[in-house]
Amino acid sequence: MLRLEKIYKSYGSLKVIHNLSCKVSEGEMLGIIGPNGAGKTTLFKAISGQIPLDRGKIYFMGEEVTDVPAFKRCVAGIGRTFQIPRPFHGMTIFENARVAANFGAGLIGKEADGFAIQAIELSGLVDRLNTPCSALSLLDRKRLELARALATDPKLLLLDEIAGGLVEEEMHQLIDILKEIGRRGISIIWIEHIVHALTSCVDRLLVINFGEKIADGDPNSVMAKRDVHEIYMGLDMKYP
Amino acid sequence: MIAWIDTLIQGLLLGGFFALSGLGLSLSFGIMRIVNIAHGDFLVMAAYLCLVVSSLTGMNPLLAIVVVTTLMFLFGYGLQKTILNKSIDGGELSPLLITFGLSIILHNVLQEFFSADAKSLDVGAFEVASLNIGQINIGWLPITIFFVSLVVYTILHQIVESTRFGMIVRAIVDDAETTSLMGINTKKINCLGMGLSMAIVGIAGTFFGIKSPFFPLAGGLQLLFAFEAVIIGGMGSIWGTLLGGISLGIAQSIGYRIGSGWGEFAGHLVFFLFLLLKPSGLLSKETSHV
Repeated sequence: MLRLEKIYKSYGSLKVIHNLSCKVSEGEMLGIIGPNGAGKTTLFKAISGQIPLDRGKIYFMGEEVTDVPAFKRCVAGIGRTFQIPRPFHGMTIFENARVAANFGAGLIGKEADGFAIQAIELSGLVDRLNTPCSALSLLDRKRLELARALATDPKLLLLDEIAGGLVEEEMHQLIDILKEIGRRGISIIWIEHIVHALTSCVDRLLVINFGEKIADGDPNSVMAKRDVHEIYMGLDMKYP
Repeated sequence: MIAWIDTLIQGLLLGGFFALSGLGLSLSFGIMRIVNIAHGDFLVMAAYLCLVVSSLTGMNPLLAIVVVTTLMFLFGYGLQKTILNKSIDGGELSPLLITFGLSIILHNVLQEFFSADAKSLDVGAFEVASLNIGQINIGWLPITIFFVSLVVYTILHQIVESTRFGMIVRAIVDDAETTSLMGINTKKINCLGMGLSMAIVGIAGTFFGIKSPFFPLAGGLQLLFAFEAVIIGGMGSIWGTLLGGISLGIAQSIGYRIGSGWGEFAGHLVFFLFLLLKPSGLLSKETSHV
């Protein structure tokens, strides 16, 4: 479904993504971890088309999308959420999702309304359709991010630290929602610092550091690797 | 007492023109985040366009306004598509410099084609006709400009609140980057937004040409008044610009009542006080749409 081929991205002299290649299959849920500044969010920006690559190629559903603008990638089926929720403040929950259904999913009229409501329902906000976004708690804003991304009718969903800042109970609710999304056949790439939340859901785990791939594979075996511990968990394995 | 009531009414009506001329600027900032330095010169260009259309067709400028508005819409769309959209990715400074350059080019082009002499748009007796209420005389032209201004504001409000285009505009005003991730071609919306902005400049420019003589370099002062209306009202707020324009008009009118040289100064003073005490303006983006 998604293929990254030797992609590079720098900001000035700072190398943020360096020779990264990766694949995501249909229906797969991939977790990404890495220390702050590892290039995780930049990777999402590159996949969603918010920033151009310096080098490398991105393929989505068999088509090269390296130079395709963000709005066309969204229409093609790449949806994303932000680490810090970015709702349209002047709108209600329903209006936020309807914008996505109208343009991302390409629906109009009642069809768009119904699709937006389905996305909101799956995210657990259906009882507050007409609530202004400015009145929402952090959890609800994160749910709205999810609802809006789902309303674009994605084939691939990019989730950027969607569990950050949530208490344990809220996180379990969120994980249930994500599992349901996965059951519907939507592929997910999930960046998260809360490793136990990730490992309870994802099929595969990718670890990056300084924009380079450190490990990729089964979550438990990846987390057992010595260099992953050393880099990500901050443990000095030389002097245990 | 009558003199002060007259002053307030004249100020209100003058404010209607400032509100109309500031609306295009407010829109281009609100949607595209473009501070259009050439705004005043586009206003003057619209007046010259109306002069050409009237001369060629014999139409009354008040009717030619429809042609001018349409042509200015197409001009705005094309300007955004060919030049400004490419500059937006370079940050906010880039379109500012480009519009500054356009302003200089426009000065020279207008001088080349129309000379530096002042011109005016002739609407006959309507220009001086007035409505007499007791001791107060109110010109029909300022009344017309004020009501046209209110109609334009109302239509724009309906577009923003009740149409699909308006829904996208509200989303872009909130967060343009996120809007593009919802499948919306924001560059195309920018073209429509600039077209709309220039269409409004077309209306304001025609009225500017009717109410006062104009010449190629007349845009600077109009840009200043439009800026003052927008900033007093609150950057990026439609209704704020209306209130800002009216506030500026009343301030200038009171200034003129005090002394003939005090009119513009009083307006600038109110603008300065707003910058000092309430730089966010009467209605900031947080309290209104666009």
